[in-house]
Amino acid sequence: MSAELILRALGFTLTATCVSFVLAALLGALVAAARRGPWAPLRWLAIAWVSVLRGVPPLVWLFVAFFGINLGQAKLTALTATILTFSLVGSAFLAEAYRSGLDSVSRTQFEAVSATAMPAWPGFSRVILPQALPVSLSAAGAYLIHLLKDTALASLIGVQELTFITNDAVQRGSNGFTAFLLLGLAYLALSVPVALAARTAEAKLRKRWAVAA
Amino acid sequence: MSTISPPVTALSVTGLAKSYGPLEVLKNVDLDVARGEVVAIIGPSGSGKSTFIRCLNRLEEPDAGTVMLDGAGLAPSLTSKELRALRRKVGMVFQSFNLFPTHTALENVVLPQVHSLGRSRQQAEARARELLAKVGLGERADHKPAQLSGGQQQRVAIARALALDPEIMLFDEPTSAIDPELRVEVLRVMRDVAAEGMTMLVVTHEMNFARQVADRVVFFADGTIVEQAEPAAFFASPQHERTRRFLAAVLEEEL
Repeated sequence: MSAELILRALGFTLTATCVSFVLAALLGALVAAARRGPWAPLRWLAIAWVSVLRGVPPLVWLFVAFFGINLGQAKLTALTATILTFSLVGSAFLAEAYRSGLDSVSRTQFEAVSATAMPAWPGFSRVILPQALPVSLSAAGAYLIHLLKDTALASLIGVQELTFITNDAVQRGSNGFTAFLLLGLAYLALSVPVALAARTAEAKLRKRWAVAA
Repeated sequence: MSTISPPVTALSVTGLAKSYGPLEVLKNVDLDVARGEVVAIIGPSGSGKSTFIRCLNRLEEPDAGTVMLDGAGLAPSLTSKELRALRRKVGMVFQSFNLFPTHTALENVVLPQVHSLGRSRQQAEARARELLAKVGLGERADHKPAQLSGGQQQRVAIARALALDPEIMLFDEPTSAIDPELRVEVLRVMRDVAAEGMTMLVVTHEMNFARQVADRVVFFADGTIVEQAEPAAFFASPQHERTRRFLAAVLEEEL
């Protein structure tokens, strides 16, 4: 296995993870906003969105997306299908992460924002968000690690990411035990820093927005 | 307290009603409050007194009735812009303080000024420091709510509400969640605010405050105003049986 091949595979794994996570974070925010918004049909839509996307194995969604998308070159399509799948599935998980954060903020805080005549955005960003974010962030960090590992599923539709090339090497005669053990270590080498970063970010937020100085 | 004559009506409530499902919390409540008047609202829990004042700044939406502020009627349902305009005029102090926990005492008083009134950061901070000094917490400006006692938190909350220069202040059981020995400092601040001519509606269980500071005592029971009078008359010779029973129970407790 060439270093170039491994780096390219690592690139696929990281691209699928990071791009999906960013898109999921943005889309999830819209879903969470709809979920708490004043319009009942949008609320139902948000509930349905979360239930449907989370209620089906990501692998099934991946196959649906892969076989459903019939555009362009095969390699690009597989990666696009992967990103599309994990952005949508991730939006459901992250919408729930945001929701758990918002639910952790007392109703009286929303009342205090109202009673002091603060407009919606500053009230949300200066008062509600600092209380909700640490809770949401810890759920989101857990999901990011989950997502990193789930991108291994993309090997099944031919994305040449880390799991794909490992499996390929084993098919060509490499020692399966050693190869997959190394793959496991590679995922650990990626997920441990992510976990640490998430924990550090959460700790920083909690410190910055501490309830006691 | 109201030395201005003739009295100008600051707030006029007519036929206010509110139900939660089958439960009628407020039944046709009428109340006029003069500018500068301090009204103590007392009554058993569940009598609708908190819901009443929460209808005045529209934290609760009344089902029926009219509320006039300074002679101008409020529409039955307000846009968010109108709601904010109302809440700039009508400040509220909550039983559980409801300070913003991630911000210092100073920031709690600064934030609404900047975002609700559009004051500059500098102006807001100057006003906040002045108000915190007035409520006796000039030294605690940089403390977070969790580092303050209940009495101190409530005084910050009063400063926060005053910072918007409201015309009327609503107090929803402001001392009920505070240790008895720390209530005095909050009541002293409320006395000062009253003495400066603020129009105040105070839902309270503090009979001494009602007796000594209020211009009028209003007794709520079962969603209506049963009786109202100036404090000396109210406590000396309550007219209704329901009022007598309540006062007997409360004053017994105070002894």
